[in-house]
Amino acid sequence: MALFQTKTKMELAELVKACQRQDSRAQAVFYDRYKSRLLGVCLRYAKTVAEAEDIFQEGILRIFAKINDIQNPQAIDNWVKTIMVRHAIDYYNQVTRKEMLSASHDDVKLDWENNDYTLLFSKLDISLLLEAINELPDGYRIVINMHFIDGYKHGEIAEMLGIKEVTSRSQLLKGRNLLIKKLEQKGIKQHEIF
Amino acid sequence: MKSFDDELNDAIQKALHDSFENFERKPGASIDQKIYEALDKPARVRPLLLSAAAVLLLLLGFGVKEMSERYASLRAITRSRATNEELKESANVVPLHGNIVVSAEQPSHTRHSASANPAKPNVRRPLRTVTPAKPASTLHEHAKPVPYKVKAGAGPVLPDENNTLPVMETEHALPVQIQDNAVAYRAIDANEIATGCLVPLLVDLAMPEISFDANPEDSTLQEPESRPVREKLDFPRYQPSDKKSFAWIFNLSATNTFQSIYLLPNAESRILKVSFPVSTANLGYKLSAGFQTLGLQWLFHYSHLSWKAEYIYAIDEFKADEQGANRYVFERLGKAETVTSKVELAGVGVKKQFDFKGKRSGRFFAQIGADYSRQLQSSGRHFLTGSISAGKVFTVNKTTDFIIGPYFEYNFNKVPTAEYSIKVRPNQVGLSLGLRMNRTK
Repeated sequence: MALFQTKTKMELAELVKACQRQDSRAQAVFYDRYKSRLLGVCLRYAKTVAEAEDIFQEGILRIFAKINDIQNPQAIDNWVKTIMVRHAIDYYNQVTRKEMLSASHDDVKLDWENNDYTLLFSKLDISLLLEAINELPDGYRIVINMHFIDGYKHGEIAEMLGIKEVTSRSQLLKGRNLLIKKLEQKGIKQHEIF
Repeated sequence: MKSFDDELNDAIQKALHDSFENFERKPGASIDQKIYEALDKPARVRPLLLSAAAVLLLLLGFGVKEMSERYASLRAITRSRATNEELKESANVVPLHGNIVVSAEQPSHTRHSASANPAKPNVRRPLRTVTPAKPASTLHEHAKPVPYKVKAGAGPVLPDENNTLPVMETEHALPVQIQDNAVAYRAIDANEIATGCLVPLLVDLAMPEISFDANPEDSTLQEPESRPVREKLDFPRYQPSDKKSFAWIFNLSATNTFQSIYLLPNAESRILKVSFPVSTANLGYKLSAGFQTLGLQWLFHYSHLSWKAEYIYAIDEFKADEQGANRYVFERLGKAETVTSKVELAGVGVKKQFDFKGKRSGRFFAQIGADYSRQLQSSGRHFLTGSISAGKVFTVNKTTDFIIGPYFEYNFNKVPTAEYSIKVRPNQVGLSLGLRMNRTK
């Protein structure tokens, strides 16, 4: 009897097809499968936890609204993440696009000689990394997430954000430097606390 | 050759990708709740369930109507006296003294022919005394037969002063009435009339003599036994069920959800208070249908349950009450939020019913059972419950019983709420109505 089917027995392709049929039980299984990962994505792209939750809730509904568009159910993992990333970008585009384009943040000069920046990332807790990313301006934060973590090329970033590729590279460079500075400060604070 | 920037970018990309590749954060229960509600379709009462509920209500209504009509007819029968014409047609009996004369448990030498439905002996009260009746030949020796005729439509015939019957005229030849002072009769039991257990009295009767000897040799008069207190108080006795019997079972329970709450330790919790207001939002119902066999009831059921909770969330505002000089007590203020939860369950259950019967108090029942259910909504939670019920049994007809009584259901599971630090155990209390239709093979 379908009533007593367990969630683990449902194949991914069947799950997607059931969601396309708007089977509420399948939608719940689908949501439970991806919710933790997608909220993690939203926490990286958002400035605050509240904004992340807003992006997450709206993004989930958008995923279910667009699930009929998917052609290859086996690629559902990347598709779901892409939808959520695009929604996070749209969320900030409504408010911050102009700001991002006209961002005039001070360039941060790095002292290359005295610091091993790569070691910072391994020494610091992920919560501090996330905190540092959240503190970045919107434009820097989005580009760093898209390029460094999600692996988008500058051409793809430029297309998704509606900017030029050179702007994407410039934003990435400035954002990287600012992130490193923030991590240095947090690294020192962490050292002092412990 | 890569520039330093490129090498640094690659290193940072690798470090951040490794750190955040499997980064996950589980959403709170409130977010889950909102998503589930957004995904759930509006509750549709499935046509099959609606039809089953309508059929059950019709059966209940029919059963109540049938029971009330039965009761009314029974009262009419006990109050009315059978007319002479009816009894003459059915039993061809001459009424004496306005009473119906029926013989049962006659001595072996008494001859009478029965109607199509001979009566079963059902003497409620034995004769005061009984002496063996004299053989017919003996009676004829001493008695003086008085032939008589009866007029059709004649009223009750009363003996004259000489204690002999007057002559009446009728087209039918009646049996010879033996003139004898001994007249044995007994009052008609209303049940006999209702069940058609009349025995027509047709031929001569050899009436046993009635005497009032104090110590008759074969006296069936017995001193009433000293009944135990239990019987005097009409304590219902357990009626074990026949394991070979088979019956269809239908049940409707109207329930009210009351909850027990469990607070899980959570440093991030901002709940100051939780309460469960009395509200119609706590009302629900449970429909069951199945069969009884092997002494147990096997049921399928559908439940619609709901309950309401009020949470007081702490806000970043405090109230300071001054107590004495330079002493303040701070109280954190809160914001109230009401959450209504609804659950639709379907599952199976097994129950054991114990029947009791008292002579005057009637029939009673007690039930104990266990159910397994699964939530029909998205979360698909499992529920395991135990239930007890007791109440009164009414006989609708010879194959159908109607039961009514209080109902209590205990939920062995704790249900998560919108606040992940709080779980509740929703228990049910209400009224159970049921029909049992016996179909013993």
